[in-house]
Amino acid sequence: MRSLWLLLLLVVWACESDPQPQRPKQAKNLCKYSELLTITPAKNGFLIQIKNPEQPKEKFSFQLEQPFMRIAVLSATHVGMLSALEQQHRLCAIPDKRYLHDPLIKKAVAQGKVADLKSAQQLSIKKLLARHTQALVFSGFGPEQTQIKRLRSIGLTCIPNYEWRETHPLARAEWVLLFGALTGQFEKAQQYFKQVCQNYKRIRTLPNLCNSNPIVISGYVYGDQWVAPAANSFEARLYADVDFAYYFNKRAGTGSCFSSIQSVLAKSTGVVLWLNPGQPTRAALLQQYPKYKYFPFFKKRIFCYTHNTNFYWECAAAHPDWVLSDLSQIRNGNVKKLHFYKELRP
Amino acid sequence: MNRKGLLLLLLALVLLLSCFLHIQFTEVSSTSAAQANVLWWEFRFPRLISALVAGAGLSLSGLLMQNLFRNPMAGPYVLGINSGASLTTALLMLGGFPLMLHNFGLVGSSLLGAFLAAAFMFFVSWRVQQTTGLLLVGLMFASFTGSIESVLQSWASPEQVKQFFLWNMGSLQQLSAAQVPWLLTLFTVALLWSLLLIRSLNAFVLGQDQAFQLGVRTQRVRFSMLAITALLAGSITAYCGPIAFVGLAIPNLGRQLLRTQDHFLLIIFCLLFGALFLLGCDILSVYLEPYFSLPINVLTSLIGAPYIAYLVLRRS
Repeated sequence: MRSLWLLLLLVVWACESDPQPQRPKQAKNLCKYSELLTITPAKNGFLIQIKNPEQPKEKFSFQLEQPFMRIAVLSATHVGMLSALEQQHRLCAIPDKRYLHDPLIKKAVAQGKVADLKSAQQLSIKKLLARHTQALVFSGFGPEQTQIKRLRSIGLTCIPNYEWRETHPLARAEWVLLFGALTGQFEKAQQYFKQVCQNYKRIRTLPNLCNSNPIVISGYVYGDQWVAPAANSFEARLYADVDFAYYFNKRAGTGSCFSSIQSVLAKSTGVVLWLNPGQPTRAALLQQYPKYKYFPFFKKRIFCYTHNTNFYWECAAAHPDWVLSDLSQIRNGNVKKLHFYKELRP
Repeated sequence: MNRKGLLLLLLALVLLLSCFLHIQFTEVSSTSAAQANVLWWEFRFPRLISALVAGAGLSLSGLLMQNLFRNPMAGPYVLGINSGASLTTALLMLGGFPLMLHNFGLVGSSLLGAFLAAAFMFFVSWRVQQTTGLLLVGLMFASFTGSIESVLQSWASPEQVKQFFLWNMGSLQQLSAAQVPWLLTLFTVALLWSLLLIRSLNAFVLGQDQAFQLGVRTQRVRFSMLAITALLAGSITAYCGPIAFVGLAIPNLGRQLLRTQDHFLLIIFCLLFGALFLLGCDILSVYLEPYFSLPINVLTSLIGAPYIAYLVLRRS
């Protein structure tokens, strides 16, 4: 009995003298929608982690302590994100001035304050260094280019942007937080994104004035195939959020899907609306592919943003609420003010 | 019937069966009669004609080039004739000329480019006697035209570049029903013209001096061979884009299988097997469509390039 008491005492002592190690408190991810971007508060700034969708094991991560004053970007979408935060003055280089929309940046390029790199594929290291570039944001396309690796080796912070691989429009817009962190405007970016989310949700709940869900087709003929956003892409999500019955909603994938031209022609009799055909007029469509005239939906309503392509590519990622608003108006047939889209008149 | 005749008959039968198989792909399950009609006449039929004419025409032009240059490695693609057609088309497409909008603009420019390239190579063949040298000039010419196209692309608008890029990949689906008679007419003219040359072509196998001694008007025949090749390669390139290896591989295969230099048999073989080869590639691309898309040029190169490598190795 005495030994039993001794054993009990030992157990109690052991429990008291060796307390359970406390788990470190997990820092909160400030991104709610994005599947690829993680921003967590760190000691003197943020810890930014970016997942490569092609190689999920590969994660780019860096500790951001100081905002960057001179940023180069390699995509019009990145320009739009900076414009949304009114941080255009931090830009020191852009990919190609022909694809710019923002008048402020156009002016800066004309004045020589912002360098035109001409091509995102053939980066000029000399130009980037001459502009005292501190950070470079580039669109990630799987394995990194040699030029990016070379720039990293000389100390430039090169940040991949996979916003275009997100599957939800709000997740795409959430990348504005990355630009908020990079420019020291994180709170402003949060405010901005909160407003976009509120608008998006409000528009999504607007009543559908159509009796049924209209069948919508998107995309165009490219080479010998019909190319369109796949069922799990952010564009398909936008269509679903305004109650469109999307023609390709059974074609799995987060990027583009392909279909034979003849299959589209044969099975598209119910389509009442054609979105994003890639040309600003019906005449231009016929010039590009004369056989469009045989598609039943060529005679129906067609909407596209190609009358101002640069504006769409620059601003649509940061403004999914505007895109949704356009689609909602198109669905209801009471078009008042479209941000990006325009109807191709017969 | 001898072995050669049987082989050609068999080829004709397989080609006929392949045509039926090709037609079967028309999706009419959920279409109205009017739409099924459109599917057939505007999509299926022009595609079938494209495959048949391009395969037969390019093989025939390859046969003529190999005879003219007395070189089994000659062909419209290797000798830069397709490149000439491609260059003039690039000038038209990337230069943004309004002539491009017209059907004849594309065909005319392509024919002109093909003819100029053929004439240039013919001139070079007089100066450069060695086969390797001639092929090198052909490759250099193709590289040169490719560089000019790259310069033109850097000036052109993204839309024009896209249009040219797609044309350059080669396609059997761009021909419209309205263009079918034009392609068939050009092909028929070229075919009849080459059938008229059969005796001269057979004499050319012995060498042009021997042919001259046999009474062949060599100068006129040489011009005719160049003109026919330009007509075929130019018109096919205009409507289908540059298609590689068919013109080079099929005539060689014909000589191997038939073991003859009789150009009547060789022409028939090139027409049948060339058409069958390209039709087969197209049927394969249709089968692969649900999984991935392969431009016709990729398929012909995938099959043609190893065969040419085999030929070179065998000769060496």
